[in-house]
Amino acid sequence: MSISLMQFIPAALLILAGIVVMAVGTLGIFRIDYVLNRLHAAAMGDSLGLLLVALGLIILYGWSYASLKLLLIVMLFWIASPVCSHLLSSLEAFTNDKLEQVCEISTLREVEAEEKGE
Amino acid sequence: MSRRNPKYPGSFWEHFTQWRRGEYDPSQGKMEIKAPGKKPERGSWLPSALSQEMRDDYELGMKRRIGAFQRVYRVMALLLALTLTVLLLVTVSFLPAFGDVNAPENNEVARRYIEKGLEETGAVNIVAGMILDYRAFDTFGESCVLFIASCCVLILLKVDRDEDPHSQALEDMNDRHYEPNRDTVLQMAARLLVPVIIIFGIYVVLNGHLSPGGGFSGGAIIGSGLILYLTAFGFERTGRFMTEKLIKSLTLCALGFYCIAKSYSFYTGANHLDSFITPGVPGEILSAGLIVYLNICVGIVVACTMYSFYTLFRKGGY
Repeated sequence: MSISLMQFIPAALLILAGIVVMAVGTLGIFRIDYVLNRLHAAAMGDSLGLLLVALGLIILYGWSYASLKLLLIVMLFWIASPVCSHLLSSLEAFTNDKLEQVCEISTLREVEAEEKGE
Repeated sequence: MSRRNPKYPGSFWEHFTQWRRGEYDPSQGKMEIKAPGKKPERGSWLPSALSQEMRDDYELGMKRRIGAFQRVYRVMALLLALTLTVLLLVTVSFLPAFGDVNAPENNEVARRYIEKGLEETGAVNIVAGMILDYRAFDTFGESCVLFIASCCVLILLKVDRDEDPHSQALEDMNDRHYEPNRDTVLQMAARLLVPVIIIFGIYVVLNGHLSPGGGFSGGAIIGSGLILYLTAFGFERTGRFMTEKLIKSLTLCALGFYCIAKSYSFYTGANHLDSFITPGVPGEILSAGLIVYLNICVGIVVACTMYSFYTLFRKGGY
């Protein structure tokens, strides 16, 4: 299978961008101190990084049965990854007694009242 | 009316029956039972007659000795790690080069698997043909290891359910303390994902002889789907179908079928010549002789084991 330059350049750019996003996310996991902030960094690689790498691979190998599988993997991660982040953050909110020291807390009712007021 | 054996009272069988009922303890009166004594409090072995100064001196000396020990310990650990690294690297340099023709693993066994595997087993996936046909008893042993492991975990972690409804409710509450408690987001995601995951697992199991995959990986996928369902909806939903009895009978039936089917195959000469089990047309879903059915068995065992591990570690029961 030969890959033309027209295919190779956008595919390489997309895969590189995906790897950069994942690398930034990994760096964030190790550099950021607080859990909720770290979740943000971790979720980035799962969503944007994975999509970019998968798109790059689809362009590289052409539209085929395998690209459907790649899109399915992206779909699975886009459903599962936000749910994982949600569960982790809710666990942190339940177990951390000093949550108000690290971030602002507002209940759902307060948010709704604020939105009505505006 | 049955007549009692005159030798029966005080005989071995009477004691055995009583022991089975829990009325008789053979070790009673013969074994010395002693409660462990109280541990001496730390530091109390120093004679109290010593002055405070001498005590302080002693403690300082102990601290110094512990510090020196820790330093030596670190150096020794580093030395040990370095020695092991060098030893392993030297050993690696003596191994034959990758892809060497004269390497011991390039013998007639591997050649036969690759050249005659499709013809003899009918499995397009050579690995499936190897592990479930040529070396089927090896895989049977692996499945049994999984089964025994789950039995051991069951022995260690199974908790007897309390009859008291109050304490049971408390237990259930504690169980869900750190777990997602009726989380709507998780339940929606699980509703979407669980059917897809389980169907994908079944596909991997059934296609084990045609494509990469097979019983172990497919069973793991099915088990993770069940665990996701359990995490989202709780024990009262999964307990309806994944009962202890079902898991037990499924695992035992799968292992038993595996054993009987493969024993028959080996009994007829292990070459499928005179048996009704034929390799079939390679590439079809119902081909490759027994491999499909054995894959299903392995998949059932793996899925049940994964699910029961999770429930045992989380709650100590099904």
